[in-house]
Amino acid sequence: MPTIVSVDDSTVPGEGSSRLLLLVSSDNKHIVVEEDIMSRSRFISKQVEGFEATSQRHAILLPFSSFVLNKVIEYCSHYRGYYLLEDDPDAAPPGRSPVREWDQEFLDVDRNMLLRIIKAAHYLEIKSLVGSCARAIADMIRGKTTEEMREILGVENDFTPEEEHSPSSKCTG
Amino acid sequence: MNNVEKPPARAYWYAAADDRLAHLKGVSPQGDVKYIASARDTVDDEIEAARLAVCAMRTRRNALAPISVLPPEILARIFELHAIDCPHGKVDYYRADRMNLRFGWIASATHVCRRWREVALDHPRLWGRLAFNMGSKWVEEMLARVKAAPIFVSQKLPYCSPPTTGTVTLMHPAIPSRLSQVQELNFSGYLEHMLPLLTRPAPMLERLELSTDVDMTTQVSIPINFLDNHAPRLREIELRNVSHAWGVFPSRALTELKIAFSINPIPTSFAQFLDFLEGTPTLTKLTLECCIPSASHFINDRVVSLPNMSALTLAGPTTDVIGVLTHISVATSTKLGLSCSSQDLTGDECCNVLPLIMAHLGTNSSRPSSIRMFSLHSVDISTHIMKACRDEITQEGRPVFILEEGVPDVSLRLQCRISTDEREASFLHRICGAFPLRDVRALDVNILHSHCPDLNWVDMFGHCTSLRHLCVSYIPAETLCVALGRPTVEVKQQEHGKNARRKRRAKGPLLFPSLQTLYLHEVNFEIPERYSGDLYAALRSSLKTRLTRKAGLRVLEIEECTVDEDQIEQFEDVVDEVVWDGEVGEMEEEYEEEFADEYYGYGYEEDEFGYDSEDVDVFPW
Repeated sequence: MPTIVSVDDSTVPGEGSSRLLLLVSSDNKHIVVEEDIMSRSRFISKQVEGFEATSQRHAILLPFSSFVLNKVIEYCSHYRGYYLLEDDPDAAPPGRSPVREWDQEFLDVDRNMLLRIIKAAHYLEIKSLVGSCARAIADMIRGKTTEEMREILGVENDFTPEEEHSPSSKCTG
Repeated sequence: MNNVEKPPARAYWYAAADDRLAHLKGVSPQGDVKYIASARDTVDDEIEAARLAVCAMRTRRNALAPISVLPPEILARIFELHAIDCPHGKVDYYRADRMNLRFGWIASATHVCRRWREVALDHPRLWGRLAFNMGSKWVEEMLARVKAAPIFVSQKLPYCSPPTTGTVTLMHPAIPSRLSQVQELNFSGYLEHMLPLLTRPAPMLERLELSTDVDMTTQVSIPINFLDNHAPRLREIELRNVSHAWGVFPSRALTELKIAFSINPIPTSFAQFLDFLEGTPTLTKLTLECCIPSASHFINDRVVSLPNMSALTLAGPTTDVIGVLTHISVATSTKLGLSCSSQDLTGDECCNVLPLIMAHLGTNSSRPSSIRMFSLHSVDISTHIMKACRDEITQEGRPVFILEEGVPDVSLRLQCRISTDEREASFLHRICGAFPLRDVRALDVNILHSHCPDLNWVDMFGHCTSLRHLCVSYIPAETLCVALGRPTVEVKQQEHGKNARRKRRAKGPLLFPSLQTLYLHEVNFEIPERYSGDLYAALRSSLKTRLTRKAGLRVLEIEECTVDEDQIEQFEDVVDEVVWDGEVGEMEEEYEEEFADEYYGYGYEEDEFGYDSEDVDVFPW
């Protein structure tokens, strides 16, 4: 559950047509963003609904850094007002679709950053961004041997010899 | 983090090993064999335990890797995409990595580390694509792992009839009982004994594909109680050589239906076919190949409206194609793919389909023509393919001729028993005359058989005054080379003044006055097939005439033609740009002989061992 702290009215500017939200990153950076931009995030939308019920204004504390948060806001800003099929809760899980060109450039970041973005997108429930990041990671491992995958993702072979030599120890019994 | 100071790891593990094996200190190679064997077993046990401890430490280390921040559901999503990229169950006995190919994503995702394996094994959606060629044990394992997730069945059954007392497994026995979670069902082979088993409802089924061998003497029929007549989510059906009644499909929400080679033995009528179409308004794609219901005895002016149809493909006798087109109404945006065959020698019967196509293209109205690209392709003297497209499709500024790319708005294949060049010429004139080509921007004429008639370009395409791109192959190019520089009509003008008594031929409009790009393919400039003069000179003269009359070409592209470099250079004087593939055609051998020395003879640089640098297979040692 996110930590929600009450904020003073003066902290959050704007009461007009486009409401503003205060997002607080794990490194305690305060970022003000229009509600419309973040409406792609189901997590934020649910939080805002909660605010309306209590008629109080809050800041939303998020468990990731401002650097990652800014990247997510950049994504949401780019697709502000766009309908993306992946974000439609009624749509079936998408199959193999090519990554959008803008997303490709947007996700041209180092591996660790990509992993942080997908984790943040998952937390914020932005399915389209999760899907694009997952696609980017799947592309990263496509055609690679097991050893190459370990190297790319920084993991070690932790199987016992018996486990390792079966394609799937549970499968082959 | 625990701040209690720990001994250095190496010292710790050495000490631990010493401690664990301290009781073996007295055992020496000179001792009792029994004690030595026992001591060795003890050490082996310790090594094994240490290995497992190392594995556990590696697992702990992996938990600190950045990828470990991902929750299992995200990792599983990545695996789902990876499984699409590298599906399991592929077979290629000639490849060295055939095992990896066979296991696909399973081999990679479940072998990286323990966590990945756990996530993959516990994610049911990954196991839904049953791979029958991996053996029944794997199929059973997959069926167990898939739990309630969707199942995709694609199985090739034997094509032969099963022995009456044999034990041939036609279908995995678990499939009928798991039909409730099957999303795709694709069976090919001998279906006669299998279809009656599929009688349970299939509420999740979205796609059904059934096919049998075309050469089979008895045709398989879909039973009346197929899937208990309940598959509400079924959207796509594809049947090949499987007969059916029009009311047997267990869904009223079909979007795509493709039926091929189905000789329908079940009594049906054209009215039932129309009933089916009327009862399936969701249909967007319909393909009937060699199984079009005949409307010959249907005396009724009933017309079924199919407003959602985006693509209609019909292949069969011309009368049957016409029968369907007469009794349905589709949107003008519907893409038509028609293949008509008839036995007549003149092509008259085939041409009867043209008015229906023109009506579809809206050419009966007074609006300007909508066709921007047109392609005429003669496969042989009796098979002709026309494709028309409303959009001018270009890629990097070049027109993409609709033969290869995209789906044309109308594709028409006409097959009749024309046997002479004259009849073919008349046939082609009729077809081109029927199509509204006046606003066409790109034209492709591809007639590659030797019976090709001499095309009269002015008569056939003279009204294409907006044409920008033209692609011509083989013999038709020969008449084109001449026609390009001549006026389409010759105007006789009365001169005034001192030449008042003389009449002279004035310059009429040129053929294709807006032409910018000409692609010539497989043209023999050296020895033309039909043209008796110098074809190269004729084309150059035509291009020069166009240049002087301010209708010069921007690009002349020459591919696979018999032409030499000098001729290409001289073309550059009469067009802005010449694109040549460098092929010289039949002159190539002569060319190679002339320059053979340069490639293979003396003067070619050798290295210190007497071998040229390209010769990498032979070394001096």
